[in-house]
Amino acid sequence: MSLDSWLQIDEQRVSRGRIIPYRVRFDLDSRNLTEIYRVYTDNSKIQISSNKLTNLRYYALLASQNIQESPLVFATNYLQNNQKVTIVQSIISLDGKVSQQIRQDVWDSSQTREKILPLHHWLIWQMLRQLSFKIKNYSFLIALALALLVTILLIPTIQVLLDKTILLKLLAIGLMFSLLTYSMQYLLIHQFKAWILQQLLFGFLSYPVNKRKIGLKILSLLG
Amino acid sequence: MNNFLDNITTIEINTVIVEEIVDEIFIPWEVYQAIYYISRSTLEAEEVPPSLHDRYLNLRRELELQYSLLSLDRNSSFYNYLQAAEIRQNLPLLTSPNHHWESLDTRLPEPLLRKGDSQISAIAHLFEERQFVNTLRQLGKIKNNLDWRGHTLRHNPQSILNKTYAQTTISLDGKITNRYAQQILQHRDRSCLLQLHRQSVDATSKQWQELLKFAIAFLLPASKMQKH
Repeated sequence: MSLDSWLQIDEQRVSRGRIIPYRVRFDLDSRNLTEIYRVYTDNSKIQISSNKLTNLRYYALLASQNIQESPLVFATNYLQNNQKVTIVQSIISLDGKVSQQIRQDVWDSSQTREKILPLHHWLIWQMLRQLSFKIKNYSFLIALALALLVTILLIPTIQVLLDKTILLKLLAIGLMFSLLTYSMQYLLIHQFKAWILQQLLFGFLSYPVNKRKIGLKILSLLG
Repeated sequence: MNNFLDNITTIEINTVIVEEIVDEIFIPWEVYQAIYYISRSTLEAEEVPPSLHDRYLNLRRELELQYSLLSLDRNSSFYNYLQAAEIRQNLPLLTSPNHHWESLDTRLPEPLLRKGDSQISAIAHLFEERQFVNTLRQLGKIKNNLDWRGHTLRHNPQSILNKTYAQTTISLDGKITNRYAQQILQHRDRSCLLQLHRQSVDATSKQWQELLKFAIAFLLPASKMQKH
């Protein structure tokens, strides 16, 4: 079941070029509450759309970078009598502090106590368990490919510079290729990845969602 | 990235019943102004319940402390080498929870327009300091909670509204501590309240595990890169 219709990730503009998420919102009403509750009781999984999942991962990434200042906020709203009311809000900080705020009339309503509150907690768990994704370490292969490219480009230069036997030339090329591979891998892992993370959080990869996807994808490939 | 894994030793889950859950918008100028003018006299004039006075004053102390730390940071544009020695001398007063810090002259730029544009631009410049703004945001949240709590105390001192009524702390060494506000022990809905908190604790444990998995798998290697 898709969450798109009633899952919202609220964002705010913090500077001219920067828009960041600040809250995840579940907008429930009498209709979708029944559907979601059925998924909950069946113990099925909720599918989150690709864009929303990217924004959620980005939100979690931001929260981890600004640990004390940017917790993850999850709020459940319920529409009743044409009025949207926030019933419960969970504020989860990566430094271990969690605050559950529950609206005072909760215990007057059995529906709220028995359905909405458990769903709120379950939906948060469903979203958080989908945060992680496969991380593949292709840094060595990428470094290898880059080193090969540079080596091929530099072969004519080596041939000109090294007026030696073919064996020595091959040795020089092999040595250069190895050094390049090692250097490229080091640069990829230690410099490029940090730079990508920086751009994803604060730079040109931070908005909109398609750029965030690219940034997350690159990070996942670098291990 | 901070080494958050090194700093996590406990998970603390607090449950609060509130009158309503509002969407808090952080406006740095408003929060700065509100906290800057906190003093014993203003708290009395605004009839803030006496039990909250120390907590409000603590906000003011924290703001002053944060600015002092900024003034001592050589990498900050607020670094004041002429007054660094004196600021350093005052730090023990600002970091201790007693009232002696109140006798110190404030170094914070005043928000109101009495001293002209130079103060306004100083404050605007201050809001460019990320750490300062982050602290201001935290202090703003605490102040909001205190304001709600004050409102509740004025109308119904025995109410548990807007106050953490149950807290569970789970340490990494397996120790679990539960704390409850005295008022809920005689509350007519005690069972319901305790059940709500238990639900929160059970749910948080599962949620927290997933969040940690993400952070460890995805961010820990990246954080090591940034460190180097």
